Parts: sequence; C-alpha cells; structure tokens
Amino acid sequence: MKSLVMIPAYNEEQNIEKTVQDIQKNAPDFDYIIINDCSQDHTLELCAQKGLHVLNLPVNLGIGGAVQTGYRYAAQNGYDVAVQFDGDGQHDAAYLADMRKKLVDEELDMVIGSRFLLHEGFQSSGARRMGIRYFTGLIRFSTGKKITDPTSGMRMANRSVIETFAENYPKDYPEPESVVCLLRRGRRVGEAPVKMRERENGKSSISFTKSIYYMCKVTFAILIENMRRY
Amino acid sequence: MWKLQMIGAAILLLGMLYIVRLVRKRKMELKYALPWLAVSFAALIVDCFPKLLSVLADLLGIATPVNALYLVAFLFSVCLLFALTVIVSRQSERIKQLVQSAALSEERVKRLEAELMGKACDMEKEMQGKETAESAGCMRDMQAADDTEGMKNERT
Repeated sequence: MKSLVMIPAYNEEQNIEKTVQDIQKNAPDFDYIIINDCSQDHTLELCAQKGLHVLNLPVNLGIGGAVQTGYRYAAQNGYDVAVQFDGDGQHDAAYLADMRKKLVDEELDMVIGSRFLLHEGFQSSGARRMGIRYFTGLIRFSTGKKITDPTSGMRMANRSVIETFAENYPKDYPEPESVVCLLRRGRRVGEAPVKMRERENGKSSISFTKSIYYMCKVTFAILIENMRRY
Repeated sequence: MWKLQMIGAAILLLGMLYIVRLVRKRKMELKYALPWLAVSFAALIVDCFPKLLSVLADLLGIATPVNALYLVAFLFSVCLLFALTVIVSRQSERIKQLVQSAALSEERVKRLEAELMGKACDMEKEMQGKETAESAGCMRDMQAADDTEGMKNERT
C-alpha cells in the first residue's frame, strides 16, 4: 500500500529535519514530501542541502493551498493513502501505522488523529479547547457526527478523499470545513487516539487576535458547506 | 452654467481618451474598460442635456435631480466593486492552481533528471567495465544534462 506523509512547512528550518527523521525512524514504509510554502527562512536551502524531498511553492499560498499541493502530488503519483503531518514537531510519526490500520480495517475514508480520545499528551490551552469544543458541537449539529478534534492537522485520507481534496480544498483554516465537506458527501470519517507534543520552536499560525476572525470564518464556512448539494 | 458644462465635458472626454490609451497600450483589458467607457459616455450625455436628470428624478419620485444623480452613481460604484470582488476571487483560485502546478512540475523535472542521471551513470559504468580506461565517466554525462537544460532555458 503506497503511503505518503505530506508535511506543509512555513519557516520550519529548526524543526523540519527532526520531523523527517521521526517519520523515517517510526513510520519507515511511508514516503514523505515537504511542501515549502515560500518560507522566509532557510527551510528550502536546508532541504536541498540534506537532500529532502520537497515541493517548492514559488508564492505563499497559506496552509490550505500548501496541503492541497500535497494531495495533488499524492493523486498524480498514485498513492493509496496520504496523511497530513505538521512540520513543527507537534505530531508523532509513531501513530501513523495505527491510523492506517484503522483506515483500512474499518474501511474509513478519513482518519483524524485526535488528542481528546485518551486525554494524553499536550491538550492545548483552555481557551483553544473551548473553541474546539464549539466546532465539535457545530459539526455534530449540522452532520450528526461527533468529531472530538476537528481542528487536528493530523489526518489520513484514502484514495477517494485524496482525489476529492486534490480538486477542492478550503484555502485558509481548512480543517473543520474539510471534515464537514466529507461528511456531507457521505464519506466515512473516524478518529484515532494520538498524543501530540507542544511545539518546540516557532509560533502557532493562529494568534489570539486572529482567533475571533477564525471562529466567525469557519462557522460561516461550515454553514455554507451545509447548503451545498452533492 | 455653460462654462461648467464645458469643463465637465472636457474632463469626461479626457478621461475617455486616457482609458482608450491604456487599452491601446495593453495596460487595461477592453473587457474591464467597457463599463468605464459606458459610464463616461452616459455622464457626457447627462452633461449635455441636464434636463434628463430632472426627468429621471420625476420618474423615480426623487425631489431634487442631483439626488437622482447620486443614487445612480452610488449604484454603479457598488456594482463595479462587487464585480471586482468576484473577479479577484476567481483570480486568486487560478493563481493558487498555477502555483501548485508549477511546484509539482518542478519536483517532477528534478526527480526525472536525477533518474536519468542515474541511468546514464549506470550505462557509463557498464561501458567502463568493458573499456576500463576512461575515468571522466559520470562527470561528462552531468555536463551533457546541464547543457540540455541550458538550451531549454534559452528557448523559453
């Protein structure tokens, strides 16, 4: 089964090599591809120097556009499974095999790595957890499905979802919206327990002031997604 | 009264000429210039026949003609802004797709290049196995690959 880890990276020169080593050591039968989203630091030079596989975006597209590039790569190169994996050291490659097992055994279309099934590892700050719970409620309300960690950036897709996302993927703040998009299309989404680490270097892409905009935008996105017909 | 109308007409004509000039120099697409030319032309007609405004105001039930003018101008501005927002959204989607395709192609070219170089090196080694003498080997192939790349760049 051809499997790909997609690592979107923006200014991750301090973390990217460790992330790749983690994958090579703990998920050796996964290929990986870094998507350098026009980093301002030396991420690209570092990748070239260490011979890491990289897709280089000549213009900054933001997280959604970067991740979609990964899905397009997976679609073009015949991958059966593709998983999003943060380049900042938050995610742990040791869980990838379990996630894939769940995806295959339970015939799911997507498996999300959830921090809140076992309540182990870094649980995010109180305010963030409130926001996440709000989205859980909103998704449950609109689709009837309980997703405990809808903002998790660690998510694994099968071939059909790879093709869907290669064609259509939200641009910014894509995580909750894309889950709703799949559920609305009648795809099967499940969750697997994972532990996440607190990021070592760099800042989260969502600052406190942006979070209000984030909540509003994603809420509207989910509502509009519910008005689409498939 | 006449003086103001003349000045207005002059400004409008100059504006239209400027738009046409931009289109001629390909700095503005005709498609996007047309609404501006149309509204300039309409303004020119109103400038020449101000009575038209009074007729319009009467039709719409607006007390003063100038308010009818403001209303029409405001509606035009809003429509144009809205159209531009739609256009920007479409452009941004297209740019995204192009950027992704460029990145995917670049990676593919590099991967195929590396594969080709590897094959060339293998062949060279086989040849060396038979002839033994040559040591320049792979370097020559890499040089050849660089040359073809240079030619491609020149062509584009």
